[in-house]
Amino acid sequence: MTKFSIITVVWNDCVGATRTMQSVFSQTYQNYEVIVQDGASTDGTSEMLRSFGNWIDSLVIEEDDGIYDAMNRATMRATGDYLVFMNAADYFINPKVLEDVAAAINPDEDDIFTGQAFRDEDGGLHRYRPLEQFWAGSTLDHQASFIRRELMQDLKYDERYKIAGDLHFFTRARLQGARYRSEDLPIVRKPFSVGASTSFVDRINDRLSMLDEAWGDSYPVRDTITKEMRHYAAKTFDVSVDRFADMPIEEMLKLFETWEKRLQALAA
Amino acid sequence: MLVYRRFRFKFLSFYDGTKMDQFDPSLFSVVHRSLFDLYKRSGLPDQTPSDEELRNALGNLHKSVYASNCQQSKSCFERYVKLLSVSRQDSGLLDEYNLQKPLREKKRAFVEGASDQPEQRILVSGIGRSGTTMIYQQLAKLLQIDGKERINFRYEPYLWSIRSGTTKGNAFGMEQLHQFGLHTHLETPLLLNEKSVLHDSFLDSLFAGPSDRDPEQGPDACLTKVIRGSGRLGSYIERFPDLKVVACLRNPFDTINSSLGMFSFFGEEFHENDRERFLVELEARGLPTAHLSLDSPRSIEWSAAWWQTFTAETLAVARQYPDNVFLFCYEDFSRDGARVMQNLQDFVGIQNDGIAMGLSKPAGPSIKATSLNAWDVAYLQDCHAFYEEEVLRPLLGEAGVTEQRQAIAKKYAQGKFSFPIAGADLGRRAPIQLRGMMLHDGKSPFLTLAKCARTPIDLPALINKYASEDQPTPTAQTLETDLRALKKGKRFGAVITCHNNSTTIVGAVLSCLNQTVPYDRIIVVDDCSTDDSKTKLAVLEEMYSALQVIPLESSLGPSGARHIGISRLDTDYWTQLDGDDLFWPTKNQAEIVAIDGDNNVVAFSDILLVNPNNTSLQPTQTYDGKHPNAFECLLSRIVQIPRDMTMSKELYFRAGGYNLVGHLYEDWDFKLRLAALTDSEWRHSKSQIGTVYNRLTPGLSGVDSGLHARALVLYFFKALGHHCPAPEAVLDHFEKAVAPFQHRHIVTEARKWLKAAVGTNSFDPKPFSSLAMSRHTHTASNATLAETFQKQAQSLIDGHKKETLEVAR
Repeated sequence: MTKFSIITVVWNDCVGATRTMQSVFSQTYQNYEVIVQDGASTDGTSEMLRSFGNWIDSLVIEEDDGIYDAMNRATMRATGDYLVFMNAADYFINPKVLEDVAAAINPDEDDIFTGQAFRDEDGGLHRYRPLEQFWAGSTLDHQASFIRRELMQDLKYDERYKIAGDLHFFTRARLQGARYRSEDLPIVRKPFSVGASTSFVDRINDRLSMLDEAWGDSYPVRDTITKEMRHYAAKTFDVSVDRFADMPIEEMLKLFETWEKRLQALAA
Repeated sequence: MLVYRRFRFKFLSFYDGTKMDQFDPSLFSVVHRSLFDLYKRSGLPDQTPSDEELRNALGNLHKSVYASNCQQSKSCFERYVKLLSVSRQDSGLLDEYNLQKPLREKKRAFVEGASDQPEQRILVSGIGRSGTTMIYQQLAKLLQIDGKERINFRYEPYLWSIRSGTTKGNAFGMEQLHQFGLHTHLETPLLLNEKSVLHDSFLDSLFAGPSDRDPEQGPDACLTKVIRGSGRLGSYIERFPDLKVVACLRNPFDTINSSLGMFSFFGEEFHENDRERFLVELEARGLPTAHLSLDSPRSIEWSAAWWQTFTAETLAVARQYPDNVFLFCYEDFSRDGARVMQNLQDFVGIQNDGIAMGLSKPAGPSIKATSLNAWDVAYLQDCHAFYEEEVLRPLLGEAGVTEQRQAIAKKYAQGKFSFPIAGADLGRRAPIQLRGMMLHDGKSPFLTLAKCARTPIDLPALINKYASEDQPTPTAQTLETDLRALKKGKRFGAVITCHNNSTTIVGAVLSCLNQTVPYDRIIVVDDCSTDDSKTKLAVLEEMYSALQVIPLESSLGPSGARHIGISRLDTDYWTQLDGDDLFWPTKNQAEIVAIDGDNNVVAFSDILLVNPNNTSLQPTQTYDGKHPNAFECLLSRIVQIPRDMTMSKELYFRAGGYNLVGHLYEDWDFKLRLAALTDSEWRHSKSQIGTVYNRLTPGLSGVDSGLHARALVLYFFKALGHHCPAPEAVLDHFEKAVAPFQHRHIVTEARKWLKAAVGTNSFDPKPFSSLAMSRHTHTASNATLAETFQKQAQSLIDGHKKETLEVAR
């Protein structure tokens, strides 16, 4: 019987963490453990988590060095076969998620098993790239992915990243030959607007350099992302995509950078 | 110009019939701004525009103005050209634009010589709704009766350009806006005691201009009424030392209540920055501003601060210039109108019996509605104490003060509350409010609440029916006793949970605000409502600073929502209310008295159950007493279980707070843990009723009875771990607790296990509570649980048999 380790990291989000815990404890599949890493919240989150008593198998409340550090610390305490990261405000879409995943996952073959994620903002299904295009990124989300514990504990998240740490992990896992599988199985609802506070340009740069370095020699990484950026820029600035026809991605990113600065100046 | 900036001109016409296609706001704004600037600079030696600059500017503006159909812009242009020709002594300007002879000579003579000075300059001043219009009209009459032929009337010239003694018809049309006055108001401080180039030139236009009737002569008298100028009285008297000021004063309750449905003191219907500059000026004077939040701009705190500041300022000016200022006290006038009118006549130096005529008729719209609730009334007590000390006691004496206080308390306790909104004559008598609505794109906060359903329960009728004689009712005591002393320095809060309670949430919030001792903080946790509760709560939050709305982005259910609300409360004690129920007006007061500052006390009251066909009072007295009385009552679920109790936050957290993952009977679970605390005491309040419990619509009765039975069994087992009654009583408690579901399979199996355990020599409740508290039990199916109970029972029976055999051997 597959055992899952559900990992939740939280900092000052009592409402989100409550929602997450509610969805975890309503799971009908019972072979799981709950590991919570609270970055020393000051808003009552820690008290709320303590009130669950031994329902949470491992609760650590301590200051950390950011989200990936917190996730790594929690990972090292896991004992299940597969891990799933359900951070505060993410929640399983129904009480049968673990039951369905346990039935679908094949511990002999699957190192990373991924399902569907839905946007909490509007309930819509978030579309990812098919797994085969792993070299272009955005193929899965860690909230909807069940990762073999040993793999995660071995590789860990790289704490230098603020946002792209998960892509970095998934990329390294694939380079190591990890086997991925995706099913149309509803897993999670998560707020997609969270985390968008980091500069868009920085995020793209991070992703581009990471993917280009890993797969640039074998796949059209740069061209694909450039093409997508053109459409994104056209949509953002409400102009025809032709305007960006010959624009290299660096220039486009500069454009975005200027735009972001202007927005910041306006807000200030 | 700011006033026009946000209006939506797509409408064909305004309420007053002004054709919008004849008004060009952008042109008007440019014309007015540019000309005002030229005019202002003309008065300042180092900035005076050169003739060339002036003529170029005028030429350009002239072209634009006459190429358009905008009458407002044309008249504005002409008015300023006249003003400029006077101030620059340049009559050529008039010829260039073919305008009539100016009033230049008259004006000059006026300022320089004394011969044409008006005999009387009278200013009526006061905060809006303090009797200014009535006094203005009476004085206007008096001056005319006295034979004055040339009287210059000005009515609230910081807004209007009304030039008559009365305000009949639609004197408040858009075309009547006084651009000069409005601009002066915006550019000078709200509180002004000294000379100011801009303000003084405006004052000259009020009190040193030529006669309206005959521009070739000076007026016999000038009568002006100001609302927005009531903080600038010092500068008026500085400018015109012979000015007679009639300063109207009225108590904060009536003044503010009366204004609420009409206009805001802050005038944001016309311009948006009064609040900010008011704050700046208060801070500059070292007055407190921390209680004034821009998040609750329509709260009583703002109105109260305005009232207090301007009343204090008026009193200060009256002390400084006793010969110039007559204090007209509205309450004194209400008691002895004839004497006050006589004093007024003595003050202005004109006597005529005609002054008494017409006083019985209201001068302006009379407001009969009560828009202040108990929260507002309680807040205004300090203002009223100030008013009593400074104004009422010297005039009315101690007896008069008491009488006045009682009258106010009665009025606001018994009045029919309505959200502030003008009556059916909206747009004629209350055009300002209408403009406010237009500024909000038709989504008027006034209308949002005024028209909405508050609650299907007729609370006033229930109060009439159920309030007993010895019970404090929401009446006269509000102003008679210092209720703050009851609280022993502690703060009390209420958490309201709302999930799609659009038709009842406003009533629920009002019932918390309308307490004889209002809550210090009310948090509404909106548990992901998808109806229009959000809109209503947003408007309420703007109106009441005590109210805080916490919107949840994903639903946490009632106990999760309550927990979030309780955690966020900044009070020592808390209670809760469902978004479709109501609080009895005395609930908080009675429970505060019951608590008596004790952190271990849980205070509760009876419940008035409102069913579709009947209403019944559910007594809860049985639960009163020290530990473990309430626990044992709860365990059996006998009679009505108290709800919405008041207790300290400390006690809540010590009891472990709400069960965040339960959906049925989770409140029972919490109450059991609460009652299990050995040092807790449950006290029944003296209030007959605490909660009016709305059972008009079915609640959770549609949920499968198997789930009800399971929840009752598990919470019962869990409770045995907190505090276990005598073994012989356990089964009896169990039977009572699960009575409605006694035949369900899960109950039968649970009973067997319990029976087997009680039958042993040493009853151990631990296996029951451990099983009930396990995470796995939470999601196990009823069948699995029944099977587990069966196994446990069998193992106890087998063990018992074995023991009996061994004993027999």
